[in-house]
Amino acid sequence: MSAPSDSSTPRGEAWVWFSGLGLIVGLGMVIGLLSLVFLNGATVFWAPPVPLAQLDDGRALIGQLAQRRIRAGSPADQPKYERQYQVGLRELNGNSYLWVDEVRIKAETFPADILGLERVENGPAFVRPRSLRRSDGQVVAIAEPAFEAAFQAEVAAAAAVREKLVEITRHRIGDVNAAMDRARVGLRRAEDLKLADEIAARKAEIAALDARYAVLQAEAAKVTAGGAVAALVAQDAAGREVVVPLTQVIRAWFPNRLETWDRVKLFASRLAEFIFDEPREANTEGGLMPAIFGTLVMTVFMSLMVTPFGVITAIYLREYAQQGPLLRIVRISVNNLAGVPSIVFGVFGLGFFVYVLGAPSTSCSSPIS
Amino acid sequence: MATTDEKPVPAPESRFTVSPLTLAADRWMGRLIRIGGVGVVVAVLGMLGFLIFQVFPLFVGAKVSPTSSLAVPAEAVAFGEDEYGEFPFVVRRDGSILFQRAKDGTKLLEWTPALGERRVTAIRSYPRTGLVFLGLSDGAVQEVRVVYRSTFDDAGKRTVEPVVTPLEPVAIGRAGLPCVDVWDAKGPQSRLLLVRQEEGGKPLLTAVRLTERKGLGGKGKVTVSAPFVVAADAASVDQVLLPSTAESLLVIGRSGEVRAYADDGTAFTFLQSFTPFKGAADPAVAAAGLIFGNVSVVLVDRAGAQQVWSMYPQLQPDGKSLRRWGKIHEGEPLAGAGQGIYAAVGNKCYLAAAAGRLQLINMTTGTVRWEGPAPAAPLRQVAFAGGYDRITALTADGQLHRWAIVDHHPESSWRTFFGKIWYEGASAPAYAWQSSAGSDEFEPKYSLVPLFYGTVKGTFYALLFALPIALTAAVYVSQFLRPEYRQVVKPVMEVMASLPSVVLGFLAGLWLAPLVDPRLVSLFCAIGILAPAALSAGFLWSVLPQPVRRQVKPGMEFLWLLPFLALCAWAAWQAGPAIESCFFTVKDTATGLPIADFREWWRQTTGATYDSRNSLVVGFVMGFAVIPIVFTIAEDALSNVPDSLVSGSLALGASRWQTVWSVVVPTAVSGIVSAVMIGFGRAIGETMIVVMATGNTAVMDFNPFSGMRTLSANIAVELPEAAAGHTHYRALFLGACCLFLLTFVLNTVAEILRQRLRERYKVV
Repeated sequence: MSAPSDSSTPRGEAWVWFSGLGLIVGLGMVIGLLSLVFLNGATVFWAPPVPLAQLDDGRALIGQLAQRRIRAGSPADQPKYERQYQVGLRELNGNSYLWVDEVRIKAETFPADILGLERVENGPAFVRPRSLRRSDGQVVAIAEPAFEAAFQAEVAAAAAVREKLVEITRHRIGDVNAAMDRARVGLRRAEDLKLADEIAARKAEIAALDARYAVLQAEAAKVTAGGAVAALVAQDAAGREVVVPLTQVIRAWFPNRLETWDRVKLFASRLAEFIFDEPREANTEGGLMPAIFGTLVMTVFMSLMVTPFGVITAIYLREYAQQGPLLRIVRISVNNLAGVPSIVFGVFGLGFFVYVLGAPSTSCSSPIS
Repeated sequence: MATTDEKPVPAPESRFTVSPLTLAADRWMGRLIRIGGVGVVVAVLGMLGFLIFQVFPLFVGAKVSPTSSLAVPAEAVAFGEDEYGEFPFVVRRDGSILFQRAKDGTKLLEWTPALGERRVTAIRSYPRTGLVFLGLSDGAVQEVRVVYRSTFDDAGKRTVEPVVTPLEPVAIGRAGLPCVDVWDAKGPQSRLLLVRQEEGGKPLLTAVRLTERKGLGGKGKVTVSAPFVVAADAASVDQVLLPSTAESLLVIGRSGEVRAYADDGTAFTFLQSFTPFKGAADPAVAAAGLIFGNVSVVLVDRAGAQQVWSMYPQLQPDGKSLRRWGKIHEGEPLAGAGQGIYAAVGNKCYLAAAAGRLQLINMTTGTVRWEGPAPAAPLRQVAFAGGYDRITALTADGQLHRWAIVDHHPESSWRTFFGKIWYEGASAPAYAWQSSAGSDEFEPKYSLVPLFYGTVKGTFYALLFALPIALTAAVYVSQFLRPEYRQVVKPVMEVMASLPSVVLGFLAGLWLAPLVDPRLVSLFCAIGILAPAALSAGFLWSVLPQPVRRQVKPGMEFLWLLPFLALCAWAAWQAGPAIESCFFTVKDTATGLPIADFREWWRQTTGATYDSRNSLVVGFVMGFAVIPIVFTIAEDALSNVPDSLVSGSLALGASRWQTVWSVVVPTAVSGIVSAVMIGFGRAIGETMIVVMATGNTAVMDFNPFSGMRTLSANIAVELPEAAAGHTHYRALFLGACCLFLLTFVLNTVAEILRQRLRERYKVV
C-alpha cells in the first residue's frame, strides 16, 4: 500500500485503517453477544398475540408462534418455510409444540376470546373458554358480561387455595415427615441397644406424629374440597372440551385483547417468577431461585475466605517486598494462580478437599479401590 | 509558616515514643503480610506437589513378596483354595483330596474317590471355581465340586467347612484308553469337557457338551451330548489351550505350529494355523498361556523369546474382514526357555516362569512389573487369586508357596500414557483414550496423546481467530484512537472477559452451530471479505485529495469503516449461496441430483468428516475468552511505550504508521509476546466451551470441520465418575498435572518477559 498520488499523504495509512478492523470486530462481538442474550432471554417472557390457524386439511390450531425456519431440503432459490407453534395442552396433544408447513396454512385470525393459561401441570394451554363453573356451583357463560371479572376473581381465589395447600403439604406435612424419619431411626437404634424406656418414648412420639399427620391430611382434604369446585370449561382448536380446575391455573390472560401496558405487567410478573420462584415441572418451568441462591452463597463464602489473602498479598507486593528475586517469584506465582485453568483447581479441590480431608477418618489413609 | 515569632514549645518526650501496642501490631501485621505474600508461592507449589503426589503411584511397579509356604504331600499334583486362601486343598496323584489349614498346616479333611476298578490317570483343578476333574483309566471323567460352607455362631465367629461333592463319572474318551489330560470350560450355552488320550502314540482329543436346563428353583437336569473328536487333523499335540468361554481352541504341536479352532455350535472347525517362531533355530513353543479375556495368547520359545498373538479383524484375500489370530507384540525375551505362562484374573497381567526367575508382566504395555526368583523345584500349578492380590504355586517338592501382590495400577506405564500401543482386537497400534467399557475383560486405554492433540487443535483454531483481532485492536486503540473514545472502548472490550465460558459454550453448541451450519459459505465470504475491504478502504481514503481526507479526523477512522465493512459483509453474505452453487456443487448420494452443499462437498472431496459442532465454531467462541486477555495486556504494553520515543520518531518525519511499526511495536514486542502466551494458556485450559460445543471424541486429525477432546474437557467429563485411587482417576490427575505444567511454563515465561519490559521502559 504505497505510491499515493498526493505527496502529502502519510505513508501506511491503509494499515491504520486495517488495524481499526480488529476493534470493530471485537466491539461487534461483545455488543452482538450481549444483545443476543438479552433479546432471546426477553422474548421468552413476552406474550405476543396468539393466532388461530386454519390448515388446508380442515384442521385448526391455536398456538403461539415459536419459530420459523427454512424447511430442510427445500431449494435455496425459492425457500419453503415451516412454522413451529406452541399449542400447549400436552395432555391432549401429546406434545406442546407442533411444526406446520407454511404453505398448508390457509388463514390466520386472532379471535379476541383466545385464552392463554399457565398451569401447574402439563404446561401451558391455549383454549377458547365456554363457561365458568364457580366455586359456589353457579355457571357463568362466556356471553355474559360478568364472565371476565368472575373468572379473574376465581383464579385469584384458587391461587390462594393452592398456596395454602402447598403450605400444608410441603411445609407442615414435610416437617412431620422429617420428624417421623428421625423418630423411626431413633426407635431402630433403641431397639438395637435394647433401651426399654427409649423404645417406649419413641413409640409414643411416632404415634403423636401419626395423629398430627392425620389432622393435617384432613385439613388438606378440606382445602382441596373447598377449592376444586371452580373450573373453566373450554374448547381447544379442534372443538374438544377441556375442563381446567382453577387450582391448576397459575396465570391466565387473553393474548389478543391485552393492552401494551398489560403485556408489560405480564412480562414483569413472569420475569419475577423466573428470578424469585422455585422450578416446577422437572425444571422446565418456574424459577431459578435455588440456583441463584447457590451461586450467591458460593460466591460469598469464596470472597470471605479469599479476600483477606488477596489483600494481604497485594499489600505485600506493594509495600513490604523489596526488589529482588523473591518479589519476582511472588509475582510469577500470582500470575500462575490467575492463569492455571480452573479445571485444574477443580481436580485439586476434589482430590484434596473431598477425598483426602473429607474422607471418613477410618479410610483416610489410602483412597484406593 | 516559618515567620512565626513564637518559640516552639518542646514537645514532651512521650509524643515521640510510639506506644508498644502500635509497635507490636506493626510487627505482627508485618509478619502476617510477609507470610501472606510468600503464601501465594506456597499455594502454587503445594498444588503442584499434591498433583504429582497423586500421579506418582502410576509409575511404581508391583510389589510381590513371599508370604508363607505350606508343606503338603509330595505326591500332590494340583491344588485349589477358598477366596481368602485360608483352607487350601491339594489333589494327590491317586485323586484323593486333602484340606489343610494354611496357618499351621493342620489337616482338616481328607476325601478319597470311590472308583472301584478304575484308577485316576489325569487331574485338573480350577481353583477359582472349586472344580476338580479326575480323568480315569477307562477314558471317563469324574467331576468333583469343592464348596466352602461358612457358618457364623452367636458370637459372630466364622467357621468354614469344606464340602466335597463327587458327581457321576461321564464317559468321554475312547473306552479303555486312560485319560492323559482333561479340561473344562463354561460356554454361554453349555459346558465343554475335553480329554486327551494316546492311541498308539497318536494323540486323541475328545469332547462332550454338558447342557444344564434350569427349572424354576428346581435342580437343573444335565444332558450329556455324544462325544465328538476335536482337532483330529493336528499332526502332534504338545499343549492345548481351552479358553474359559469354550468358544475356541488352540492346539500347539511339537513342531511349534499353533492350530486354531472355533466352535460353530456343533463341532470345532479349523480356523487358521500359524507358527510363531518360524525363523528361530528351534521353532517349538516352550510355554503358552491365554490372557484374561481369552482373545490373546502369550507364547514363549525355548530361547525365551516372547510373542503375544491376538484375535483381530484382518483383511482376507477375498476382501472380507474376519477375526483371525495375528501377532501384536513381541515382548522382552525371558532369561531362558519358558516354563509356564500363568494369566492373572481381572487384568491383562501374567506370570512368566523361565530359567529360575519369575516375571510379572503386563501384556498390553509389555512392562515387567516385578521380577524375582522362582522356587527351586519345578512348578506344578500356579494360580492368581480373584482379587489380583495373591499368587499361589504348587511345586514338585510338596510345597505350596504364596506371594502377596500389591499392584494398584497394573495397566499403567509411560507407554500407556504417551506411547503407541497395539490393543487387543485392534488392527494396528494406536494412540487411544477409552477409559471404560461394559465388560470386565476390557483393556482400558489411557493414551493422553489424542487429548494433547485435541488441546493443541482447539488452541490453534482459537488463536487463529483471536490473535489478529486482539492484536490489531490493541494497536489501533493504543496508538490511533482518540483518548476520549479509548475510555469507553477499553472497558467494553474487557466486558468480553466477564462472560462466563459456560454461557459461551451453551450459545456455541445450541445456537451458533446450528445457525452457521447451513450458511457456512456465506459466513466464510463475510469473514473473508473484511480484511481486504478494510485495507482497500484505507487505500482509497489515502488517494483522495486532501480536503476530502480532512473530513475524517485522525482516530475516528473506525467510525467510517464500520458502515463500509457492514455493507461489504452483508453483500458477501448474500453472495454466499451463489458462490456455493458455483464452486461446491456435488452429486447427492441419496438422490443422485446435483446439490450445492459445502458440507457434502467437503465430505466427498476430502473424505474427511463434517460435524456441525466443529473446531471452527469452538475457535470462534473461544475468541470471546482469549481476545480480551490478549487485548488488555498487549494494549498496556503498547500504550506504556514512553512518549519520548514516539515524539522523537514523529519529529523526524515518520508517519504515524511508520512510528508504530518501526518504533512502538519493536519496543513493546516482549509485552506482545507475553500477551500471546497468556492467551495461549487461557485457550489451552478452556473447558466449558469445548465440552459443550464439540463432540468430545478423541480424534487425531486436524480437520477444521470435526470436533476434538481436550485434556480439560476430558477431566470435566470423566472425573465425576472416576473411582478415587483407581488408575482412571490417577490418569485424569496426570492430565491435570500436564495442563498445570503447560500453563505454568507459559505464564512464567510471559511474566518474565513482562518484567524485562518494565525494566526496559524504566531505562528509556
